[in-house]
Amino acid sequence: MSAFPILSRFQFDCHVKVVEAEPAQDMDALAAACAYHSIGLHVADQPGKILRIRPTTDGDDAEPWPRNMTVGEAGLKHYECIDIYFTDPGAA
Amino acid sequence: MSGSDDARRNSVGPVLRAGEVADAVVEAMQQDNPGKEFVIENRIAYVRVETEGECFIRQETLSEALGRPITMPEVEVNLTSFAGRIETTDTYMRFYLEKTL
Amino acid sequence: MALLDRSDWYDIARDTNWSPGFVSRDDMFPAELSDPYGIPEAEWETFDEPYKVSYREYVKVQREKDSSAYSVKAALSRSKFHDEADEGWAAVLKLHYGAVALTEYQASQFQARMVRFGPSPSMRNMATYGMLDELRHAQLQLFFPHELLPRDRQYDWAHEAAHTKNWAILGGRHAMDDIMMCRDAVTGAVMVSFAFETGLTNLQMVGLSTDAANMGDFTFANLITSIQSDEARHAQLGSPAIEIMIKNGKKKEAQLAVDVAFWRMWRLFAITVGIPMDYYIPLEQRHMSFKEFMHEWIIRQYDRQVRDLGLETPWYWDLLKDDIENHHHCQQGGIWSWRPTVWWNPPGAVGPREREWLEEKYPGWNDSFGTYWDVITDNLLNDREEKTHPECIPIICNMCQIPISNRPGPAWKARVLQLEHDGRRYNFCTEPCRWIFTTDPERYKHHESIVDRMYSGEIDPPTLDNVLTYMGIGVVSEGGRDGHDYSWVDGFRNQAAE
Repeated sequence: MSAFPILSRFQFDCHVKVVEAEPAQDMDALAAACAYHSIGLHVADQPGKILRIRPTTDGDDAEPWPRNMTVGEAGLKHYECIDIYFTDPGAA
Repeated sequence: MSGSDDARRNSVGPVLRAGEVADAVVEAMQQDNPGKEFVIENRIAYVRVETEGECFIRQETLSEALGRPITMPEVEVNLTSFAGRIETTDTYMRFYLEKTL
Repeated sequence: MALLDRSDWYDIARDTNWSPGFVSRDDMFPAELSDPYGIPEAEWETFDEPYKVSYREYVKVQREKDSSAYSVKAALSRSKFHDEADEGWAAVLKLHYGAVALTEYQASQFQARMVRFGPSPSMRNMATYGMLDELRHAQLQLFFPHELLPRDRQYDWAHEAAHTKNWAILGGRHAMDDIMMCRDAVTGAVMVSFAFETGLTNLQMVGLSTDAANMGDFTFANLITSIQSDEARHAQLGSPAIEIMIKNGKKKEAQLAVDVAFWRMWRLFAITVGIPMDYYIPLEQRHMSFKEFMHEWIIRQYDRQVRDLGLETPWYWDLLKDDIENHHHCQQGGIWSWRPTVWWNPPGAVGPREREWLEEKYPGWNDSFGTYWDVITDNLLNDREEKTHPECIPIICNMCQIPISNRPGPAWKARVLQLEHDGRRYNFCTEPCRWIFTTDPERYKHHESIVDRMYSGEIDPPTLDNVLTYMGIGVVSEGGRDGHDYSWVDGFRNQAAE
């Protein structure tokens, strides 16, 4: 299976952006791919913070996926909405 | 903002392209609607004329104010828009609302 | 010989009607083109338009309107106005003409449907004038920008835009096809004549006229107020149609038509009017904020007409009030960021003084939209212009076809609302856009947004360059760049120097 579009809802950004995801990519790599299209363009960088990914939900309260879990393992599909957000390095 | 939305909720009247006809309409409407208080907003390209509930433009008064005869259909050339509902006849235009809120 | 008063003969002249002998009335006025609500013929005979005109009067008045519009243009065409006008004003004109000119022909076709299939003779009579009005509007708005073409190829979009697959045009076409081109005469009268023409056309044609006069563009101010004087008349086809529907137990259907059409047009007009008023018009020439204008013309005036006719304020009114302070600010950011995709040169126009004005008119602007422009400003101040050009695309709403966006910064309101239908995942920007889809999925489900087309193989390969060509950029003219060549950041440079 090849790359497919996911919908990057990047924390503090104004637009939800289309980013291509690879099934073998882990969450850190996907977060970096999303960050490339938001940080330094429409969102200020927050050096030292770690980006995590969770499914977009109405309450903004879903658990993040493990950082080394792959896109395929997480079961992300075409046009899946994901939140990419800043966390403190010490946070669980 | 919502205060002013509310305060003028029963306002009716024409919005006219700025010019001699608009000026004449303002003058004529004050004569033809005694006792009515008008809010006149001059927005350079257009003039909004508003009052509570109901008002008329009458052909005879308008012609006098303009200094030349004008028919009611000719008012359309300058009637860009209006607040409320409209009734058009040979001798007058009426702006009104059926319900008072 | 004394002429009769119009009122003595008007009803007879207008109500030319006959009983068909060779076909049935149902064949002559099929429900799907005429009246799908089954309202009896006798009820339609009571249709009484409040704004009356005879053909003789119509010709005389329209001639006067046209001679005024064309003579003002002729008188001023020798002036140096366009040589000296701010590029922000040129952006307003290019956006306006590209979005509006050929849409007027669609409007004329829609009026022609009422001329032929309107169930009431008086409706058919009034729509005849409406049909001619819209032809006039198309021809005026093709002719006026034509003289600007030698100066700037982007003005060619006045004629070309509607023939392209530019994302903004896909949005306009989707909405106009929905409310104008693919509706029966009665629903169209409610959707177009009432919901659209008594409300939102005022924003474009009256709202921008004061800005035009302030800019010194009296040709354009005169043109658009002249156009709106036609709208004010033929829009009055809508209210009697609504009253007859309500009287015949079809209030729910009338309400649905009003609510769908208004929201569809709102999403577009916030872009064509909201962005010009609050960003493209230079600060010194702005007369009102878009929000102030919306409150005067829509929240107060239009909603009042809705209720006076016996309908209810649309269910999404609170969402609209929020959108008034949000949608066009987001799209100003998006259009500027993806400026190569549009046919005008959008000014960023958010220097220190403009930001002060925006904060005053829209309290909280700096904390939200300001964070977005802070990053852009920082890039421009530090020679990272390339970082102001995204390499990705935003997801597009499957109803309005506009990038899905919402307040940035700590508020972080951007969110896609999704819907699964027949195995396909649809994306929407707001509750009303998603709701409209659910009211009639069969009508909407086959359409593909520009993003869908990138992944369905229609734009192959889906590279940015290919997408631009697909949209007509580099074909009709070059795409947009910052309207002021980034001079609006100078204010920050000076602040830093002080």
